[in-house]
Amino acid sequence: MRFIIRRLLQSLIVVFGVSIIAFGMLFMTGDPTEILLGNGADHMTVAQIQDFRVKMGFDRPWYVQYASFVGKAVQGDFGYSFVRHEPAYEVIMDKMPATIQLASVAFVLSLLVSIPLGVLSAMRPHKPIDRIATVLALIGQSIPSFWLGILLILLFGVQLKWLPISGSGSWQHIIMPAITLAAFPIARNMRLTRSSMLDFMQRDFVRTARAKGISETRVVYAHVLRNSLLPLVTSIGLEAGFLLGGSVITETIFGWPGVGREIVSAIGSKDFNVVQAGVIMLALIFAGVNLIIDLAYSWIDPRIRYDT
Amino acid sequence: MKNEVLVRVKDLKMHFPIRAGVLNRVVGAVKAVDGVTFDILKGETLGLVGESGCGKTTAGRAILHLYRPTAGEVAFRGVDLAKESPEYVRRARRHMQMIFQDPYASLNPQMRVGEIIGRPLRVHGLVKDAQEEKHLVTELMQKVGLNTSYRDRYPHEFSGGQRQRIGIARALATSPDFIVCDEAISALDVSIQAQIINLLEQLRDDLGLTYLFIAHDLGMVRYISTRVGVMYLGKMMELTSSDELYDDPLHPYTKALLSAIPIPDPPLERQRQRMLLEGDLPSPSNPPAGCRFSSRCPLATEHCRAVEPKFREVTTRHWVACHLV
Amino acid sequence: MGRKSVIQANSPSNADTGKGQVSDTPSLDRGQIRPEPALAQKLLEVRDLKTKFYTVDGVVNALNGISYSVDKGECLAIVGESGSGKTVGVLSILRLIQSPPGRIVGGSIFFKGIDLLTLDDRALREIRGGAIAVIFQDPMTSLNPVMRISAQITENIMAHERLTHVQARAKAVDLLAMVGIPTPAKRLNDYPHQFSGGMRQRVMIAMALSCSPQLIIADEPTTALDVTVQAQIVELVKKLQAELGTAVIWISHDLGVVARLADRVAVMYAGHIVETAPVDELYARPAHPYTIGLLNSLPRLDARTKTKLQAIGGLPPNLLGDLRGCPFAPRCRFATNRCREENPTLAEVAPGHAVACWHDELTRAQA
Repeated sequence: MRFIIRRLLQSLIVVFGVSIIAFGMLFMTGDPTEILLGNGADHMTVAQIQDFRVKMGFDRPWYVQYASFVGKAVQGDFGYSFVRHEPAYEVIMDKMPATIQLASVAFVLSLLVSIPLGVLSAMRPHKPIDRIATVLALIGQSIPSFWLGILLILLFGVQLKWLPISGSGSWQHIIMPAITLAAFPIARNMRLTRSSMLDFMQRDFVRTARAKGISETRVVYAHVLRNSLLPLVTSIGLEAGFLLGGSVITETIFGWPGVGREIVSAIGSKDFNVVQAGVIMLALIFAGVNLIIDLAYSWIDPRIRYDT
Repeated sequence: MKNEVLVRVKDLKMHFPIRAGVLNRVVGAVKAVDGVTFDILKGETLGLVGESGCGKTTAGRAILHLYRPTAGEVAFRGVDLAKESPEYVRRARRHMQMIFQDPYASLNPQMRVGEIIGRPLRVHGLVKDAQEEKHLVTELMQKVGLNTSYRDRYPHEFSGGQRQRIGIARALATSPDFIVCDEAISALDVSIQAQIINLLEQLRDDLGLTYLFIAHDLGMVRYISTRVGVMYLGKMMELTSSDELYDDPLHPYTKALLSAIPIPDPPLERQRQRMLLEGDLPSPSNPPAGCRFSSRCPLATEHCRAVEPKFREVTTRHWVACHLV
Repeated sequence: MGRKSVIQANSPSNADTGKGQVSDTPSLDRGQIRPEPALAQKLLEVRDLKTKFYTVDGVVNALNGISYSVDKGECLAIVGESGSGKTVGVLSILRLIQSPPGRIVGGSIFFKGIDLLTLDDRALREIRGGAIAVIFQDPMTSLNPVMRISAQITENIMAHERLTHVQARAKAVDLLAMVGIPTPAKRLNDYPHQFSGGMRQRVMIAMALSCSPQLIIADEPTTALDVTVQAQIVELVKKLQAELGTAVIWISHDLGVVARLADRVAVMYAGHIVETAPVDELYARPAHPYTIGLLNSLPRLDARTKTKLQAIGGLPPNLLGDLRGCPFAPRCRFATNRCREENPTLAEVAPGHAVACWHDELTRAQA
């Protein structure tokens, strides 16, 4: 219980930090009034500009502005989108399901591919299957996602015409974005599973397990794999952030109607309220996922569960 | 042997805080050493024995002022170092050295043997120039039985026993009077242990050294020590001359410990009665009330579980902490 | 004295045929060869076992043809220092050495007449944890940290016996009670880190006993424990062995523990068995210079007068690459040219007492 409360507090600190950065973004780029008005300011009088500044509350000290920002944000009020003229919160939440869908599919895909491949590699180190997996992992880790996305589009979309290039709507639409997004986590988790398995394979308790006469399959899955998952779980927690953050690029390439693409277009149109709402909501989800991962960790490792 | 006190330990306590919770508050303390009193006489070898968690290693380190004692005093030649300036303590260090259990972990792997042994000479300003240092290092290596042509090799090129010789040479570099040997032979094989023990004895006789010999191997401790102290959960249970401890142990824990040690003599072993202790060692953060040993002592009474016995001189120079003696 | 060559440790054809067929080797001129002993009499018979480790630095000759046997209900202690091959020697029995780099390259291991080295994986698994069980050195690392004790014991039981999960658990409770764990039914659901070192070793023993093995291999089971806890475990094993009639191979470097426990002792040095004898005989009349050296380098707790320890000079040999002659020759004060050229094989010097030394008459006279 103590453990959960501590983790919850840590998550709050993370979200608090993100909110400061999201809030600060507006000021770091210059005078928010001028940025928001842009070229429009040329046609306005000084008094009109000052009116706008007062109306937006930019004349108050920054900490007052931040307090009011947080106060409203807690209630889901991030102000209005200047472009769409609807609440920024709703603009983001409209897109959230698509982002979560893409991230989830990519997440499941990454685990389904990386763990079995990692186990296979570890079972036959330095044999052909391991070598092939190693090369694939190297490619997966080094290729930038925008480039992989474009390659996939050229091959399966333009050349072979098997899959739709852009947009959403059918299950075929999600395949290429999900692969693009999952490529890096697949590669990393596979290597991690492999090295972790190889490490645990040498442990004394695995020798004990073999000495009991249980099948090699049980030795690998009940003893080695379960222990090997511990370092993997930590990596998966960080991956949640990667999948959410990475969606910004992937969604833009594939025209996937998610939060990431919305944030990119909002940045383009200086729609800061939407950017802030998007960043903070993603941070909240990220913190939530990490919390769940930590709980999973304590479930897998009894030493943590009982020590606290 | 003159009865000149070299090190006086009085009511030494060494507690380590346990932190926990969100705010990292101190929720308790590991009472590694919890009030021990003894003298180490010049020229003697005092053995300190006990099982893991008894505080013997911590006591050794606190005596060298590697830790700042929680309470009590450790006086070296009559001076309590805790009350002196850091500079004084630094200079005093050259007179007291330590030999560690794991000879590999305690030697810098990136330094050549000659540098490792010569370093204390330079740190304490005991040599004028490189020429003199080289000369002294050669002398030290000969003293501990290391081939002097190995001075440019690295620690990993040596076996465990040779590394321990390097550790001994390093400890001897500053010509100390007092050396704490902390499980100095525990990591070595039987046939090598005897080599190191013989070397330590010979050095003691040649150089007039005083040892605090910390080990869990009672056979070796009996062999090398003049007097032996038995520790249990941070307390000294019994302290007397080596022979008397083995011939006439008074504390039930000492008796149990001695009976637990098998003797390499099969017919004798078959006849020996074991005094088996129940259960495991309690945690030093939560020792039993009254006598520390009461939870495992076959003779313990209500009085033992309530009142802690005093460490007192029962017969001449035989100290025991037990109500039943 | 009738000196008979019991085992031809260095004969290559022996390893090739693998069936313990003893061949005459011309270089050996000591006595005649004893006829093949009947297989059925011995519970375990290891012959000319050779294990090598293929490392990046080269081939490590960990076991250079060792032969020994264990009778039913007997406790054989194998004594040696680190690197002597004592652990490799017994873990090879169940093929539990890490492979790669380790590989058994020759010899045979007869358990009740069956050569374990010829068994396929499935048949070997039936023996592992069934008829032969192992207790490992470090109870801290030898149990799976994320698995309950119950699962770790029942998986052993259910691998060998047709029992339901409930029956297996009930049996596990009985086993824990037998090895002296208080409130066994409650402790069964605990994880290893909730036990002390001594209690964990009791759990390991319970696990080893779970399928009524005929042979238990105990690899330095008390080395990691405190002396008072070591005494508890030694007495427990002695008691259980007497009650259950299980044979035990006890690996140790502690000659005191061995004196307490063993019926017979084999002394190993540099991958060879250099001496084997009944326990009283070995301690009273050691014949190999290494055994004598080991016994003289130990201070005795009960010694009235202080005699200077006789250390064995020098270091154990590096097992990388091939050794020539007796492996102990460089540290031996009796060594002659012959010792440096030819490796002696085990030869019987008294009933049940065999020594691998060219000069054992000399050494025993001196001892």
